[in-house]
Amino acid sequence: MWSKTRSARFHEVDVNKENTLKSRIISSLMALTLTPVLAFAEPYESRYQPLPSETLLLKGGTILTGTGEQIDSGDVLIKDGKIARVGKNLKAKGAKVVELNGAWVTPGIIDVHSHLGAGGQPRVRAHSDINEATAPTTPDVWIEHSVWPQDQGFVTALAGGITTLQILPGSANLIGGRSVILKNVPARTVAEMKFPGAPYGLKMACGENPKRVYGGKGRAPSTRMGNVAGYRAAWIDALDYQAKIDKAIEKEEALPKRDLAKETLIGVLKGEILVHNHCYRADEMATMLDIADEFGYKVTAFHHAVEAYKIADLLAEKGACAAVWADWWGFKMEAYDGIKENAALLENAGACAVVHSDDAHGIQRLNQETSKIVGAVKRVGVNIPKAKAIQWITLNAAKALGVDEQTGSIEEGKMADVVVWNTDPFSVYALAEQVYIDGALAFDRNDSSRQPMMDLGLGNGVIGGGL
Amino acid sequence: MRRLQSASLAAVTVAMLTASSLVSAATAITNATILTASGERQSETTILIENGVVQAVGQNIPAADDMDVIDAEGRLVTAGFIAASGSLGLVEVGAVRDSVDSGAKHAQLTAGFKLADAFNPQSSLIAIARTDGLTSALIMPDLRNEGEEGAYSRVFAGTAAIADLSGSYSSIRVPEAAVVAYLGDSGQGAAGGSRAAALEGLRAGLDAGRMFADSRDKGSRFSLPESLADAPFSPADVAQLAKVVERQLPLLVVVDKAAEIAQVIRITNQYGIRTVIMGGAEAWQLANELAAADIGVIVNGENNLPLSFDHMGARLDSAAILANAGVELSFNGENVGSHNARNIRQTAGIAVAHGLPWETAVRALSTSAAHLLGFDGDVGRLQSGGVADLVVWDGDPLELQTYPTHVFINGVPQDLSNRQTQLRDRYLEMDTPLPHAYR
Repeated sequence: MWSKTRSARFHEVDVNKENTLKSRIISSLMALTLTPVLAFAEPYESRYQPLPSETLLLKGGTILTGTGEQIDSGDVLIKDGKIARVGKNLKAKGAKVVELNGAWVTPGIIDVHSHLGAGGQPRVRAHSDINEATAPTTPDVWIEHSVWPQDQGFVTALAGGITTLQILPGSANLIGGRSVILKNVPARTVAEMKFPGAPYGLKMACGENPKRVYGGKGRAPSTRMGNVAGYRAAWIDALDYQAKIDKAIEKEEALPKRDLAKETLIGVLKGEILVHNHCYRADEMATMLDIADEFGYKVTAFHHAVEAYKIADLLAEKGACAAVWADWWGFKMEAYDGIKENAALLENAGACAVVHSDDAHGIQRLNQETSKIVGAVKRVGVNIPKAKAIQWITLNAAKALGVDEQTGSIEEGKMADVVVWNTDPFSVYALAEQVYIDGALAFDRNDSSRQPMMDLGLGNGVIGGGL
Repeated sequence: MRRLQSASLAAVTVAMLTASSLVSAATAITNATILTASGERQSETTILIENGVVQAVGQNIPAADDMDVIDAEGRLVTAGFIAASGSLGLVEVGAVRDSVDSGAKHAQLTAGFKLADAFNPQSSLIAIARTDGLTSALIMPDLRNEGEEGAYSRVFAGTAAIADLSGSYSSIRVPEAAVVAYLGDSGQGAAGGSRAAALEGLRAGLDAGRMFADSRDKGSRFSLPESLADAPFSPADVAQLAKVVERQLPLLVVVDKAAEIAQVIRITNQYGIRTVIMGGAEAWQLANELAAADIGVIVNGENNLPLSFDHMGARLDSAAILANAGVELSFNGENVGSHNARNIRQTAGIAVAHGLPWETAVRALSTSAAHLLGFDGDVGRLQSGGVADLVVWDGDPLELQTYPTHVFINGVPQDLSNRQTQLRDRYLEMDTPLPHAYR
């Protein structure tokens, strides 16, 4: 993806020589791609190990593959933690056969917007580690350093079919820090949950929150224009830092001192870190896309995006996903125009729609939130097949996180992240019966030995078991 | 007009603004499926509505020639659902303080803070709730005294009202429906930092109410006794609390922790009051005791997380356990409140997924909600003589994709468009000859 974008930009240099700012950025970006400036070993690497698994043949279910297809009476063969085959009448010697008896199967559900672990249960002040609200731009913070793997919310999310999730910093800041993508397995350390090979995200936030938080402290930003000045200043600083590195390399001088904040921003400009931009209003999303163009990065996904439906065409054109709720609205001014059909209208316009939670309860029922949207848009005669809608919480979500090569659909060679539902997952009565992560049974509603419980629950009366 | 749901409805929904002030035409809903009092489905039923009241319900009832006839085509018709959640009509945008009237920092008024006067029938939230089949709502006062010095009387937030969701200026059905008290961490904070102080505040208020009632009955002048001198109950507060001890109003207690609920049961028995619990994360642990004390629970049907040390035992089968013990139920939830009061249907569905009988869940949103809120007989029940709040559903009302095809409030057919359906229609097409503001 990056190389394609890069060549497009080279082309722009030729035709836009008079655009000096753009040229300067682009030449700087060329340097980024040509010189190994960030030659630090990737720190904090994943220590994820899949749980033990066996070869499984799930037989006779209604399968929503996540690729847009529905297979009735279908089978899924899982081997070595991967999807080995999907289809009808599969046979596999030595596989343990699980009779689905018409149960439904979907890819593991993916939530692109969660704060689990960073604002863990109980929600006491001591567990509030989401917003580093001490400066409006904090690209130097990494949310994984706040994630407490003992949050009971991970377990209840698992019982709702969540196999992968992105934990983001909050929205107090214009640039809030790095996100982390996790596989939803119980673990003692966050490193053991980190999705191997997943890119980092960068959390940015538009609108009311940053201007309220800092305006309330009598400092910038206190307006939306102040917000925009803040983003631009941060990108200009990042480019300046890069230029210093380039110069030092050129002159064979010592590199400038490492700067965590700018390393992250440069990671975005290089296309290695994906921008996840909290933004409600349509006009502000459009402005954020302009800023991305000015500095040569891409907005991978707008989050919350309550008014995305008003600019569905623009989002489709720019290839920016919009991650939305089904029905949250009105809790603040910029959420006043929320409509249930948001994701469906995006889908209709050819944009990338994702349904997210931002909530420890909502994350347990992303299937239901998706169903609400499908039901709402039926009222205006738009019928979105289940096989399509399920993508909003599976493959599209995986794309938004940059892990769609590995997970998000039931396709040969992908991680066997799979949910078995007792009935149609678009029903309010549906429950995840079994949740497989990398082919391992991570949760089973009918087997208490596969129902994890966090430490908090011991001796405290916390109810486990998917309840 | 193109934004109205159906042409047949359009004819009767013109100028709905003052709908309930109009005399409604007689209407017959034919070919309906209804739920009988025993919870069974009865098909081919006709419902006759006139003057805001259900005149007859049954099979083989003929519709008169001059009636508006709506063929329900076999669909389920229920009493309109009652939201016991949030503060519809008292909040427009949550974070815009000027648009929120559900709580007041007021040193003088606690139980006597009455919300009904501020109810705004034009709030966009009302039509949005109505479109999802809600026809009445309990309007809850918030506890809003953060930052004030604690005083135990402040566990009382005010007096809740009940409104219909017709959008008319005569929507308030019950200006005083329940006195609302907050325990748990809210009550603790309000009372100065201890749950013991909050419970003491609850008892002090009831004591004051009892004394007020006694002196009124004796014709003597009332003043707070020395023992309650520190409790800043105003005369208006005490008058409301007297209604609680005299069982004219229920006490609605927002509480989750089982240990506190046990105290609420004791207080209920001690004072002989009518109590309803809201929240009730751990209420299931005392299901039998609650049933014995005839305390109903408006249960949060979505919470299964240890959100605080009050919620350690939260579980999704709470409703099933409570109902099984004979506790009368209604629902609210985590993602419900005012703006999404409509999600009580989903919340009830979740409870069904976790073991609550479907009929009990539907009843919880209608008959039981009405009963808990003191509406016996008139509202929340599809029966002859009842208020004609009715919904024709295009499917299972607890399902996520089900919507009403028709909603009646006080016998008047309701407009099923709202601000959100209008936004939807405006932006349904991206490519328009003129900017969307012209649509």
